[in-house]
Amino acid sequence: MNTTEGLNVTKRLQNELMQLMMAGIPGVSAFPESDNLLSWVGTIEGAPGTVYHGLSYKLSLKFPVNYPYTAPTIKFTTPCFHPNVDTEGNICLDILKDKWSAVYNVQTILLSLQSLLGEPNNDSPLNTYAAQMWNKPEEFKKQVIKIHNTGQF
Amino acid sequence: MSKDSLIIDTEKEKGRDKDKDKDDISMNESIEDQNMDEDENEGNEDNKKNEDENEDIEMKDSNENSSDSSNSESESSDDNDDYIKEKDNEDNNSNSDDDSSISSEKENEKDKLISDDYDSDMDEDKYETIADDDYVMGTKEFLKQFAINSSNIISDHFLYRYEAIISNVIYRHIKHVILKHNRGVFNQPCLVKSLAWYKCALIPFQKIIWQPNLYPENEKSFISWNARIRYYIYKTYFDIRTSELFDIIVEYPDSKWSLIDLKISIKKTGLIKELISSLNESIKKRLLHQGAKTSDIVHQYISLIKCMQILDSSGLLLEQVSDPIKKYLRYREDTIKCIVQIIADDNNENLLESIPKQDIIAFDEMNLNNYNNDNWMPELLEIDPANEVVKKKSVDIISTLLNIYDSKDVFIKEFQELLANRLLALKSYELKRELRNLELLKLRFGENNLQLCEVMIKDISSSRRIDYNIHTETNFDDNSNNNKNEKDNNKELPFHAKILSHLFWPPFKPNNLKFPKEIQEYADIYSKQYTTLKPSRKLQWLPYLGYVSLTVELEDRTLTFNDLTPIQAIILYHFQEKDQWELNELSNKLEVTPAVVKHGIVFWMNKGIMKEITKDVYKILEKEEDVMIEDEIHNTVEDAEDNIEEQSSKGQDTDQMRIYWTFISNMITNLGGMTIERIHQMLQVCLPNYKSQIEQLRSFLELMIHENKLDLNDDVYTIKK
Repeated sequence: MNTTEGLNVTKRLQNELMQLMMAGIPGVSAFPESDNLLSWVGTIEGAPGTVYHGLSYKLSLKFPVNYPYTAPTIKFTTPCFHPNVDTEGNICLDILKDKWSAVYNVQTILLSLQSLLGEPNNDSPLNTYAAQMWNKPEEFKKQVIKIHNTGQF
Repeated sequence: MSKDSLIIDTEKEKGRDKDKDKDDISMNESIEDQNMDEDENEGNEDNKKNEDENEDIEMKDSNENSSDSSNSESESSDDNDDYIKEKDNEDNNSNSDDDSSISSEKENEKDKLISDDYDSDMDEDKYETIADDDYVMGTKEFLKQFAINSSNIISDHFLYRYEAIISNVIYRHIKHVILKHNRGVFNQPCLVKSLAWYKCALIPFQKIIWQPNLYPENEKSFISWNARIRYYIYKTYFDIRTSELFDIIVEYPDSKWSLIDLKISIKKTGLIKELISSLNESIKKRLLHQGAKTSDIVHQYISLIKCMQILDSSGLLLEQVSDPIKKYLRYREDTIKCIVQIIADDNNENLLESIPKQDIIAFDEMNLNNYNNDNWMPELLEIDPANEVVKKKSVDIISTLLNIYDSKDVFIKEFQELLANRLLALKSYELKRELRNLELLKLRFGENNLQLCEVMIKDISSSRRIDYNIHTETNFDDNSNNNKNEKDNNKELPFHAKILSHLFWPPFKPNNLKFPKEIQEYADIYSKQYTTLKPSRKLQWLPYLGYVSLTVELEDRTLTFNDLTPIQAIILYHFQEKDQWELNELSNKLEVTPAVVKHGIVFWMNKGIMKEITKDVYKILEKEEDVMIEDEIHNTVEDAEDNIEEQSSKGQDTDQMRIYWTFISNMITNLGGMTIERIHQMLQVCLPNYKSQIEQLRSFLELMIHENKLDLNDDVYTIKK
């Protein structure tokens, strides 16, 4: 690892952490996993009024050394039944892929993911079964809760 | 100069003629003697007009003496003494003459010299002195006479023998003149004047004695003597300026000229070590003692830094003299407070702005690896411009001040406190100045270290927005209050709030003061509006902070007060209810200590609005009376308050830990249950500012368990749901 890059990304992540802590946004949080600031654990709670309300999901956030010029890799570690999340927890979200920009930060990512839960993009599903079921909220919710609680698909 | 040299020139010509005469004859004593006799005769003819007999006789005496002694090597001590006396007399005469002339010369020179470029690498040959005509005329004859006398000395090779005596006399005279005219004069260039005086008065004098044009063999001695005298002038300057250096520093920047004088004389004499030890001595004696105020010491230190920069731009000299001050200041508890105040003071704006564009390096930091103290040599004052290490690293005053301490944390903490006080004292939301200061400090300390300060400033600026919002949005009809009169409906909220982020501000002293009922109603409306603007936030009022403007209407007079403290206003408010209060009764009512209440009441008593009718019972004065201002009470009350402050500051340690609570709770939420070691370690990783000990963390976590926010099972902390 290039040392200056390493220092820059550490500094940037420290700042982001500070910002996130100060913002105190209800329902989303994240924290570095270990001494290595490049790996964080995040938590998002389902927003009220969505099928995910009352459930909390853990995320893993891995930052590349050249962050923020490259998007972090983000996965659900809690199994999540959602049209844009596959069974491995991979997420299909444009800002984490081709639409990534260095102005995004942990806070915006977490908020985007929180809103993605309530408003999936059914045009490019990773989980087609979930995408088909989205129109039947009752069934969908049952499936969400089952998978969340058992931790298995 | 020209007239003076004219005299010499005529002598020269004579000399040359004579030299021609005897060119082919080998030089020996007898011939010289002959020549001298001729000279003497000529001189005597000239003298007859002006000289009185006494001098003639004296001269002859000396002639006799000299011829005697030249013939016989054995010398009588009596003769010698006589001679010295005579010589002294002559010198004194010339002294007085010179002295009187110097002052007039000085006047003339002054304008010329000051307008001249007087830089540190001064070339004294540039300063030709125009001698006063009258002065020259007056001394012309005298000099002529003296020349004749001295030619006798030369003729007998006496000069070599008496050289020491003559130089001593000259030295004494130089010292006398320099001390008389320049001691304590710091605000103008003095050295250059002395050198000019030396050129116009002493050089001609020496030429008369040595006659270098007449006797080429004297040329060498003349030059070396000249050099010695010149050195002596520099040395004398060095001595007086060194002994006065402390005063020069005190009077800086008015004393800039004398520093330049000193710098030149150091360069010429190389006596830097003497300067250092003498300055250290006087600093110790005059500055670093119990009687000096810390702020004065700090100010002197700043002046010292600036002065030493003039003397030696590399900062090495400063390093040699600043150690005792730094050590001493470290012992004083209020040093950091003084420094922060000086830095943040508007009058010292240039201090903060003086950050060099490049190489912000305090001189301690460029630490003198290359310059071991033992090898430190005076020539460092003339630093080789090619020496890249020292070049360009000008001394930065603020960094140097802060280097008194080993870490910058002390300063940052103190600055934070100062900033908090200043932000709270702001009457508006005007932040320009504080922002500027903060930005300048950020350049020095980096953003991370000043994050808390940034939050504080951000708080105030968003308060302005929120406050404006609340004021325009608030509609009293919606929040219909039963007790409100119709006329209140269109009124604005009677206050503006500063909304501070909890935990990012220095801990405030706990205080139970409450708003009066009417104000509390407004405050409630404000809180409600705020919660609609920021759903996740809640306001907690701090009624004892802030300022109150009041118009007091009494039976016979109406008084307006701005800048009242809330406690003062609230005390007066309660006197609306009833005319007189007993101290303890009021303090119970307000839920604050009697000392605080008394302090507020004394304020109103001093304004002639209240009066103590019996002990600890106070009454409002509806009609004006003559009131004794009770200073004594004032003092004792203040003492009492100080004690209270001291006591309450102890509980602030855990309060400061609260700032980390968001981090701890987020950490445990995301990472699951954690041991205290892990929490401690993570805080260290994530928070550059985290400096607490694990024990402090433990007691804080215990407090959180006590507040039902945490659970502890088998050494693992979890969030309580």
